[in-house]
Amino acid sequence: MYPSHRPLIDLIPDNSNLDVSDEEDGFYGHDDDYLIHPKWKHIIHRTTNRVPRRIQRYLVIWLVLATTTLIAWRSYLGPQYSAYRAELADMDSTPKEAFGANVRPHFTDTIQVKTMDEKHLPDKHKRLVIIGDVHGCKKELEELLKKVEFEKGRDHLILTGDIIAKGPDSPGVVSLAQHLDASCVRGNHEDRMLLSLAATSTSHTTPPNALSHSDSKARQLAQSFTPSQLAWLAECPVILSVGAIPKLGTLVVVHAGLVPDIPLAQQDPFYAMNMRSIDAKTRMPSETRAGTPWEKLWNHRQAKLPAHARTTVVYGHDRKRGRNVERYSIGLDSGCVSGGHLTAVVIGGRGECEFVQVRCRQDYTK
Amino acid sequence: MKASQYAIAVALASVIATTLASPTGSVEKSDGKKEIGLRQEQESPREDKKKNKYFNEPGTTHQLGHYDARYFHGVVSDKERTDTQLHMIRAYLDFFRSKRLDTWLAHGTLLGWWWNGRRLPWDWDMDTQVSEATLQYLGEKHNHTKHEYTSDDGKTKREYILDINPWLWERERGDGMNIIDARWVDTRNGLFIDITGLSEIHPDTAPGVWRCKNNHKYETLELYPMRETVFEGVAAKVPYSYDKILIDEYTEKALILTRWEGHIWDAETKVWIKTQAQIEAEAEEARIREEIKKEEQRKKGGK
Repeated sequence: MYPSHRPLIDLIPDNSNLDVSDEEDGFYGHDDDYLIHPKWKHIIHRTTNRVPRRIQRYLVIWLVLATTTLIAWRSYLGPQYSAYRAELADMDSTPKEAFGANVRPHFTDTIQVKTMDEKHLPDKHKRLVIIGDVHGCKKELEELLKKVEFEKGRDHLILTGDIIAKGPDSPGVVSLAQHLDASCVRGNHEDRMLLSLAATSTSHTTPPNALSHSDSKARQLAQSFTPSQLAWLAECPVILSVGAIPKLGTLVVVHAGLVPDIPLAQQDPFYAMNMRSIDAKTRMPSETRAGTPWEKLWNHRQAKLPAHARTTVVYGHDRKRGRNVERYSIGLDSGCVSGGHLTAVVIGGRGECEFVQVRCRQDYTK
Repeated sequence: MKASQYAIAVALASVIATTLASPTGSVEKSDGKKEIGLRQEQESPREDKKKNKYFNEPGTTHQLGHYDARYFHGVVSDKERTDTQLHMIRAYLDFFRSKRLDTWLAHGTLLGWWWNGRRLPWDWDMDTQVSEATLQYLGEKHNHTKHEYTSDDGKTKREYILDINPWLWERERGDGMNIIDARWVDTRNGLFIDITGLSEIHPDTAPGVWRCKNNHKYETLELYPMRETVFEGVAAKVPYSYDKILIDEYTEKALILTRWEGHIWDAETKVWIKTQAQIEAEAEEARIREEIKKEEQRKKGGK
């Protein structure tokens, strides 16, 4: 109980200081309207004043840069880098189950591998001249041979396939090649033309419709050749093993590409004439560009082999990538028939490579 | 009242019957909808589509689906099947070659060729393809012909019948009962090679696209020109882009993985070898079959 002598009113606190008038300055004061306590603000000011302005500015710039980099890495570079790492890991691995375990398909009338006569190997005087997809461009071929000062009997000519079709004078190119005693490999155009020709002689119910499209083109083309020219084309192997050349290791010529770690005799002939990319993991080649470029995997795998076991491949077929020279692969198709260039690699006795090309006259495919 | 209802029912039934009996080859099936509609009509309980089926098998199981009912005398052993298939495909390929007719390996048979130029040991089906033109020629000139065969060593003599499905004019899948166009049947046990014809169904709108009645699609340029090769020791043909056709049908795994259906690829000898587990499973299966047979005989004896 409260002491009875003290009235309750006395218990009410003095409220005079709650009486704030808006006429006083204090009412508009910012005293307590702050984010950082003035005491702290003071401390910060004291410290930052000691840091030069320029450094403060740099700090901001660096922060912005770091944020940008982080975002770029997260959204683009990171995934790119991990894909690159994954591809590298795939290329490094030797898969247990990979393409090429089968018995290589055997085709009648298709020669898988030939070895070039040793007498054509380059030395001090002799050179090897390898030329990309000619496609019937005889004039350009003649120009290029002139430009490299090709001498019959001394130098040896090798053609990387697709000698014929599309261009103006396929029979002319073949007869020139025959005349120069050139070596060649079978390209997809030779393959299709020769197979069409063989098919017409083995069956009589080949449906007429089947031949109405490019197959009839291939047969028409076949009719422009003499039997001796056809026989010469049929002798072109899928793969030509040229032999050992300093710096280059074993030199091999093929039209499209090869699957690494598979012997030449075991290479799938269809893909050797048609591949453009390969699955780095399963080593499954493809005609499309969906996978790793085959020559990328090829170069990667060659570098892992002991020096004496390495193989350099000279090929054509891939017009889009054009002249494409890497350590263990030389791509020579620079699209002559569609108005590009005709390219030759001239290889000397010490393995030195010189690239020579001529501009082609026009786009013959139009 | 009743008479008019009967009349309507009869009229309806006859309309449906004529629709079913008329050739469906001319029906435009550019979209899936119509096809579904057609099939539903045919699956009505009134008509049993099975009776439209030309080639019949003693059963639909894994075991019985691979015999022609007319020549079936019971399931053969694994050994007999292998031997039958070997001579059967040789005789088939030799016959086509001697008549200068185009035929080529397809499906599982093509896959077997790809691996080692032989059949896949677990494959009960043998498949070949011909063009529609060849199929019609066969129907005209060689239907129901019998072919005597003697193996190269002279030890094996066989007889085969070439039977062309009269539904060959129908180039669409139809009711799915006649998707096999012809058969090369061993008359001793009813094992056969399935022959399917490819037609360019829409030469105007989709030129260069070939289809079998089971709707496998091929392009002219991946089929032709064919490649001459060797299968089971005799000359055979395979399509131009054999790899692509196999990948489209079976995916890349079929050309890479070395374990399939209880068999493992031997990298040294390059043949498919039956795994121990598979051998045991088959022995068990054979034992059970034997017991069932005995049981049946006992029952017969008891009666």
